[in-house]
Amino acid sequence: MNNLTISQILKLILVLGFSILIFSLAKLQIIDGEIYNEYAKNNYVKKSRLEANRGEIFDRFGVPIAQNYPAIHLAVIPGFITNEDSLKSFLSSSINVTAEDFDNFIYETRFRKYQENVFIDNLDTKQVAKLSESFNYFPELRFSISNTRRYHFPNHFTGYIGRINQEEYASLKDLGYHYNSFLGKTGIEKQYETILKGVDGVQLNLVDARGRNLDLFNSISNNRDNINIPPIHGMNINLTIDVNLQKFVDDNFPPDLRGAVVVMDYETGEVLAYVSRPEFDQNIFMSRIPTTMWDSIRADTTKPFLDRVSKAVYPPGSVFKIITSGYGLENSLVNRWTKLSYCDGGLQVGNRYVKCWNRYGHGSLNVIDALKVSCDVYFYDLSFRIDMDDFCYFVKDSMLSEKTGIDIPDEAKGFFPTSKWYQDMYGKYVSIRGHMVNLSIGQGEMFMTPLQICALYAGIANEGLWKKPHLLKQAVREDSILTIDDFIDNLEVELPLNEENLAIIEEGLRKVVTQPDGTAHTINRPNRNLYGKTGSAEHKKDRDTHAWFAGYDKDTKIAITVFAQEAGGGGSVAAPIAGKVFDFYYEYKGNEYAEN
Amino acid sequence: MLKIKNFDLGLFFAWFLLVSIGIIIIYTASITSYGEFTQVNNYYIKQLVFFLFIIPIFFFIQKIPYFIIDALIIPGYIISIILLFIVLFTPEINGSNRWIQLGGFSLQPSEIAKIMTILTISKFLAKPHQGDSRKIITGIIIALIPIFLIMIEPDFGTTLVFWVSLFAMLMAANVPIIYLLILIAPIISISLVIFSPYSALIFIILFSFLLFKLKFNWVVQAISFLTNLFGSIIFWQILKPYQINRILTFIDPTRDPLGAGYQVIQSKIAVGSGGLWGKGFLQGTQKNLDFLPENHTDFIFSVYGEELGFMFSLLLLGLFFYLLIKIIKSIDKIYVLERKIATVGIFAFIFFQLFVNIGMNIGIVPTTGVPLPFISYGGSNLVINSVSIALVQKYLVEKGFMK
Repeated sequence: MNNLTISQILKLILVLGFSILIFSLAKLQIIDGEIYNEYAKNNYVKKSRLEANRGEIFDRFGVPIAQNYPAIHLAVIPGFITNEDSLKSFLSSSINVTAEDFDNFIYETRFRKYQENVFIDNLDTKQVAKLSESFNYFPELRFSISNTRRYHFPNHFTGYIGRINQEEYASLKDLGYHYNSFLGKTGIEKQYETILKGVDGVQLNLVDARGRNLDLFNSISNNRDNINIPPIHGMNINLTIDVNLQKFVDDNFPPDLRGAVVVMDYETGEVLAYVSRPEFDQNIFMSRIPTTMWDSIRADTTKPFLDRVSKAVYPPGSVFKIITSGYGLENSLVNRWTKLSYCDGGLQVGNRYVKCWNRYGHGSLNVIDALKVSCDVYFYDLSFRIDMDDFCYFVKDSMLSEKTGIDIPDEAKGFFPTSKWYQDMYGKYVSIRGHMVNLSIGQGEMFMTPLQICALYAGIANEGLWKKPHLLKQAVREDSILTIDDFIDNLEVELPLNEENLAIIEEGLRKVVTQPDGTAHTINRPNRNLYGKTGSAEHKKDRDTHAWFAGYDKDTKIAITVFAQEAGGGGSVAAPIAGKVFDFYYEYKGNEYAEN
Repeated sequence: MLKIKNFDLGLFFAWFLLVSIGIIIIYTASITSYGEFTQVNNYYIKQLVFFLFIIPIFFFIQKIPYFIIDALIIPGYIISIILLFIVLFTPEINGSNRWIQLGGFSLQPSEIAKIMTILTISKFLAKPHQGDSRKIITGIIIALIPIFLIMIEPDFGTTLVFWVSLFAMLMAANVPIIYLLILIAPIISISLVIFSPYSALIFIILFSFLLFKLKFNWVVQAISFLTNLFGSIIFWQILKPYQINRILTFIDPTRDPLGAGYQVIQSKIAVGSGGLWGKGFLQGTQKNLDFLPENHTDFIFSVYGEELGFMFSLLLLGLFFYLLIKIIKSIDKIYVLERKIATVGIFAFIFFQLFVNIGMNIGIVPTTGVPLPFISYGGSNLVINSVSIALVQKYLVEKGFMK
């Protein structure tokens, strides 16, 4: 070997390499050329998707909330269309597809003309029957059988899924999305998309021009093992929701009112019920929505799509007074015995007389009694001693005007103003004091979500330890289990209230329920430990007030917030709803304990 | 150009023709038509611009005094390493960081590193009075820096090109082949054991016998025997197929068994269906139905084979053969050792890319992202390959000057 020069060795390698290439090329193009020509003419390799099953959603006890069901969809291969006009008229006569919809679809699928693109989801049996009649004339049409989603009851937390749209596909296709994939669009479906989705598998088949499987693949593939990759199904999710409670709350919220109810386990932050009214049925998104229906939903002034629990903000009214009280106590502006200005139905503030909600007045009160009867004058007077900007930090530290971080996308943040904000809005000489008077009773330029209020009261109930509200209990696939700790950090926050002051506030909240002159006395039950605060927030002249109730039950360890939009007084509208929920849950828990 | 003494017209025209054919094929690969629909990409125009840019450079290189080129080698190597670092911090394209975007075009630093590493290694290997082991170690160290950075990008195919060139250059530097064989024997036996355990066993026995016959130090013999044996046993018995797959995926993270399988099948159907005379220029059905993604880069040969058939494929291979033979012949004409080694390195990387690329297009070599030299679309690749040919040409022009 050593006798050979380098150029001789290279020549040998060169000749050898070229011989291999030419020999293989001759075999491929001349000896097998005809076979491959057949393949190319009549056949093609089809890469079909083995769709992963989307994880299903259950409540804390395994009651199904959202599940998969097989359905028949209409798919179109645009490249096979021979007579577009006759196809359009066929589709419009059989399943009411407008020419505009069809043109849009053709435009959107222009880069995958030879693929099956799902066009109409979830055909019903009549539509299938009508389509089948003339299916033979339209080789471009295909029925595709795959899953659809069914939501067992209308709600605002699961959200819904939809087919991936063009922009989403462009940004997500590298993550394994297919152009026919479903994608969580809102709510839990969106938040936990990555674990619900699973990973699609792939199968390679050699098919003929009509899509028939030729099973020839093995003969020309060198690698049998790689033809089929099975899908990995999505993880099933257990939510913290208790469907029994959820349904009870839903049934007992007055049908003509708009609003929201949240029930939380205050020791853990688990959300047990999450009701926003009015509701809409998410299942409408699982099939094509006729344009007329779409327009009527959009025109609906009650905004049924709006999630009023965590995505809409309102002035909290008197339920906010525990924050004003808490600030006064923490900063030693008052103590539990300090009585403030005499309430004769109002208070003179500068050249303005601001009214208490009770025009007969409450007299001179301490903090506990002021909470009990919800006397506005006490808080007006207290507000004179409060610096707005310092107070703003206190509000933030109480996790109001901060996102709670619940595992639902697009949560609203809420808002609490600063003196600078007022100056920017109304000019340099605005009366900060005048606005602070209004803010002290939870009205004016402050907005919070019912969820934030519920989390705050839950934190008060849980000895000042605020727990992040969340909806995920666990996600399960075969032997692996994920819990909320795998998704969310900082599950708890210490509220800025010391033990002593917490006790004072709790005493006030307790008296709201137990004392005959408490604003929520109607829900008092003997031998039970209910706490709460009502609110009736003015927000616009000539409109009814927002009715609020926020409270908790120390026996069953739940916190509840009821919000009814423009419905009247908190004591008369919101508190009774909360009372029913407390009773239901107490009885229900009691039975559960008895059974165990 | 004819005024340049010793200018090898054959080498020049082979190169010129190959790039021209490349532009024509990129043109047909850029056009997708079906019925009345036609879609044209402007890849071929970009490639043409690069071609027009590189022709004057080709002649310019012939005119630069050699000492300037000599002085540029090590700084060039260092700059290419810096570029390889920078590219890691650029935005990902198709899951890897291979390109630096510079205004209208993108620069592929691994291509620059390819030629700079070859020139640097030849410079060091050509130094007199070095032992064989020292040569091997120097070569590996110089090659390993860019290889390591390119592995991170990741771009497995390109790193293979470095190894092959290094191997060839060590041979050219008179390192006995048997030393090199000892180094790569474990890789051979592991590759064989995946293919068939018996062939690996036969290889190990024959190789050990060879070492024994050549009267190697018994320590070297023992170490070589054991690494071969245990490497094979680990891959044969202890690792399960999915684990081997995982290791292979670790070495080459862009490996997509199914995706690559799909491309190979499509490519084989395209080339095979071309037959003896092809389907005609612009007439490839597989191409037009867009079954083959990226057919203007790594899978360009499938378009060529489908549309022009076996006879024209032979013509293309013949042209490549002529070019490569010209390079081999120039090796004997170049007397300066450093340039001789560099020419061998250049030969190795062009031939290796050619073989692997066409091989994967016709399904006899696993898919690794290696372009077809002079033909595939890609400015950096075209420029660097052409500069390499220009350098060989220059070595021939200046072969008379002994150092």
